[in-house]
Amino acid sequence: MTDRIVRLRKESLNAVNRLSAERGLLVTEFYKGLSATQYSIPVQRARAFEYILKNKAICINNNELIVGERGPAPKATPTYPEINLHSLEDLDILDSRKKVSFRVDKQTRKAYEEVIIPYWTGKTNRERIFNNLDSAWKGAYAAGVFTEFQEQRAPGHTVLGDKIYRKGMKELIEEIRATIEVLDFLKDPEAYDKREELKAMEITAGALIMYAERYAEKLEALAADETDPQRKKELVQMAAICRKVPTEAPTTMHEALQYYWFVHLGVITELNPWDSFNPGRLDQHLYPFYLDDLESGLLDKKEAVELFQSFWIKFNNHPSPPKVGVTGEESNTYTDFCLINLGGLKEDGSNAVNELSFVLLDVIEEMRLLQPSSMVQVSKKNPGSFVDRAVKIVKTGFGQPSIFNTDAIIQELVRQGKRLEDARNGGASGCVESGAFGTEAYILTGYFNLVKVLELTLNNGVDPRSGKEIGVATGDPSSFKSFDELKKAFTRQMQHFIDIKITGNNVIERIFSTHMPVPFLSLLIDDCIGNGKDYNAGGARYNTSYVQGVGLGSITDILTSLQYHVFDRETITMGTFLEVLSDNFKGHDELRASLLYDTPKFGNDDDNADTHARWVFDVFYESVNGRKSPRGATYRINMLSTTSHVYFGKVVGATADGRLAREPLSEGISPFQGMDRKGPTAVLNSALKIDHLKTGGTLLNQKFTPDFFKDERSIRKITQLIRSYFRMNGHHIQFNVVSADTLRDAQTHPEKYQDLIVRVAGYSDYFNELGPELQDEIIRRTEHGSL
Amino acid sequence: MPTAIIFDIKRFAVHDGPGIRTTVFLKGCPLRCWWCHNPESQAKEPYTVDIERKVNGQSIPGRKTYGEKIEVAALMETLLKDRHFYEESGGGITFSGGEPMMQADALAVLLEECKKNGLHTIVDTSGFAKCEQFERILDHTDLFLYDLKNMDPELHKKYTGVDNGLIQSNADFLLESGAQIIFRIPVIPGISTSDDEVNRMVFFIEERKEYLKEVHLLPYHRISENKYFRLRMKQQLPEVKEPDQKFMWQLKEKFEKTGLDVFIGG
Repeated sequence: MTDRIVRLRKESLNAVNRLSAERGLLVTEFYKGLSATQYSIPVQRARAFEYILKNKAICINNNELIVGERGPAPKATPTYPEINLHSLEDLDILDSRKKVSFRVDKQTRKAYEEVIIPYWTGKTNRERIFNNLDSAWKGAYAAGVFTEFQEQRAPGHTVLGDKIYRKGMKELIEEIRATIEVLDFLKDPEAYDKREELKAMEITAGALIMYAERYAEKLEALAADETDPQRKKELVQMAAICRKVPTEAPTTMHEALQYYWFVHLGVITELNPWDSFNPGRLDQHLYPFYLDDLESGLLDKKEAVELFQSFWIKFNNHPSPPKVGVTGEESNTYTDFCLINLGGLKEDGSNAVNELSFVLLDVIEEMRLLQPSSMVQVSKKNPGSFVDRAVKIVKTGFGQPSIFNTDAIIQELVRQGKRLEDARNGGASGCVESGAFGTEAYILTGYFNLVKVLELTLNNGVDPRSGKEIGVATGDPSSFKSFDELKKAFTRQMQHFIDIKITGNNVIERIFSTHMPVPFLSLLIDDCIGNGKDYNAGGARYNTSYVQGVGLGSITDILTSLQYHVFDRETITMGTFLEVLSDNFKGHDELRASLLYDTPKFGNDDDNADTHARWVFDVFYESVNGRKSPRGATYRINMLSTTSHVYFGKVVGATADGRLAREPLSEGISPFQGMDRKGPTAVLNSALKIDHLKTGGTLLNQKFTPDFFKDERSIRKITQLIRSYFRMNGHHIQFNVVSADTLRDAQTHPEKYQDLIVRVAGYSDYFNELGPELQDEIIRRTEHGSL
Repeated sequence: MPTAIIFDIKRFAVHDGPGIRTTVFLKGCPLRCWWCHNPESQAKEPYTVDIERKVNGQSIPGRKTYGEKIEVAALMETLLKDRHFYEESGGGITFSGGEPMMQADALAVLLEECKKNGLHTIVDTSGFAKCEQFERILDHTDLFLYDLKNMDPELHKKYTGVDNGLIQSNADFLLESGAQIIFRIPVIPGISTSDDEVNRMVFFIEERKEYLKEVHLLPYHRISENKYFRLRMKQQLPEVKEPDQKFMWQLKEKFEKTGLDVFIGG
């Protein structure tokens, strides 16, 4: 690491999260000055984008090589009042909350009190959404049957392809104009809408050029005043780069990285899309530039690495935008889920691992930053040396990179109807979600609490927590004569709540496509320009909407226990069992012990349990998969929880697997915490009982103590474990390499462990930043390798 | 098909031979090594003890049975569940114990079934069994992990309860028959670590080195102390410290003089 990088990295790590009113004020000013009839909505949004980029502060950090911040300074995080409006109370909570706080200074608070809140109250998209959702949706939402991603953040969730490395904004503007040129107002009923959308895209392309030129001017001014000749030379060069990109296509690596970064800032300034935005297959996109620069002598390898490291730091300067209300208070997840993909396959199906893949793995290991997060795509065609190298980084215990099965991802995408080449250009983003990079809008709509649906079934449609009847009356379970009757009731209940969820999704999707188009993001994702359609309105080549199932391990164990104890062995009647559960096992420790220790559990390769996993998965899949959304997207499922299994656990009472009320549910497709007793191969085999290829991603967490990676032979065995799982079509696996003792000590002495990073779900976080429940859960997860 | 008595099946076993393996622990052992790590394996028949289990910080009494009689066919079904892991890693099945040779009939069938399914096989043995029993399984065993505990017959008898003459002659029988063998030497401070014992051990290996590729040194560890407590068994071994790393490295060097690869921990 050069001195420059050491310092920039340290500054990034030490920077304090702040809430910045800059964007909020600019967008308010813009809308205040706007005459309602002046522009169509897409053009309005484009002009708002332009206004922000024209007036926001230019931030050039001391000695940096890649420029641009979303806020006025690193970690100064903007707000999006047109989407969700922070109340003064929210600001106070954000300022004071223990986990991941955002400092709110007096001026910001004043700006909110006097300008932003008065203007936006009653006008936000969040209010529009809640005003348009019915009581069935609200009842299920309040009960914790599902969450809603778009309630506080824009859809987004996409990854850039290789477009910007081939085309400058100038060329995109020409494409837009050519498309407008051929619009047929006689035959195409959407011609007007298309023209407005395309005009909006053109404005945003121009706005990004203007923004880069503002940087160029500032860099030139700094260069003029700079006394250090070395830095002066850099500043002149950086100014020239900002004059060139994004206007023109890049020809050097520095230009390519700076271009991407401007685009990144554009996407996360336009709105606050979920899972940020992400350059995706970095080793593929940059390899030609890397080779050229090295060959021409423009860069040596050390300088190339320094540029990549500078790029890494830019990501780390950007926490995800803070939420409002209860979510703002409770959310533990303030990293923004950028997931750099390395390895995998080329478009022609050949091995894509190259020299740069290894260079970037070195960068990941050396930088050791939360953001960007990183993953390796592993295809059967990729060399073992690549996987071994990745596993050696995993061993260092900061949760990166996570490991994905390229061959499975491609099969998932092709099954969904994508061209093979588009599938090969894809990968995973966010936590584990498969997508065709550069061509797909794959929008996550919310987590779905499978266990809550079973709890409602066991209570005949009534939520025991509130007493409200929010489900369908599927019968008193005490009267069920067979396990099949319970299964039928659950299936009906599932369909009922999926209908509610999808009804809400369809409303929200229309609200975004009508009121919150994203012309800048649309510029970047094919074929929005050609279709003259916004990203949020179905303009992309492929459109998918996901519902994410949560609690597979838990629900499997609960169903297993009910069948085993109530119907097969008749050790307890349904009525008595339900009473014990409503008493939270009070006075029934022996029953609980037998549930925890002597009842088959998911994660042990035991078909007595795993059969139920497959069945629940199939019911969930059948309820969701293949349905159509208004923008023409297809609904699909994936199986991941991020941290929602903690929230979902809080709304569910005691369960028949022995879990106490309000404890977290199982996460991802992993077994319930500590219930896997037969080692990792049994866990993987259980996880393979569901059909991963029917999903858009599954998340499997495996915790290993460091000694599992102690030498080359052991590392090779981890690689072989991964390869075996992938050979059977497993989608993803990640490793937590820590000892429970270390973690316990970290709970007692957090000050000594400020650098301790763990992988929580699909991402890494500082252990100290996690809530105590999540910390406990990580400690409890089975430690393979210990006795 | 015969029935086997096992006391554990350990999947993702990565320290008992090449690749990812499943280790089957067969119950029953003619030896009574003072340092035995698996005291529950010594008696051949399954038995049940009272245990305590933690729920809510409280102890709930329960019962635990050590050992299970299982049909060889059913056992094979379990072993084949991880087939894709074995194939990917060049792993397979390890039969350990107890002393697996004590269940020679079941073992012979199991090994034959494994080979029919193309699985790599290892027998982890003390060597204390009739020579004919080894002859029976020779063709279906890819590798023997073969313990060498003490060289001095008196000490061997004292610390394991049996003579080492049969063990050494079986080893030579296997080597001469072309079997692959890795000798594994438990390093128990005060029992197998005297200069005399080490020198005799090195000499024994030296004499047979053209048949061998590697030697494993297994340092004593105290993992099993709690097992004795739980099983209400008395551990004969006086309090012994685990050998330190420096000692292990010195020992490794002595064995490396034979020209073989020496691994600590196997």
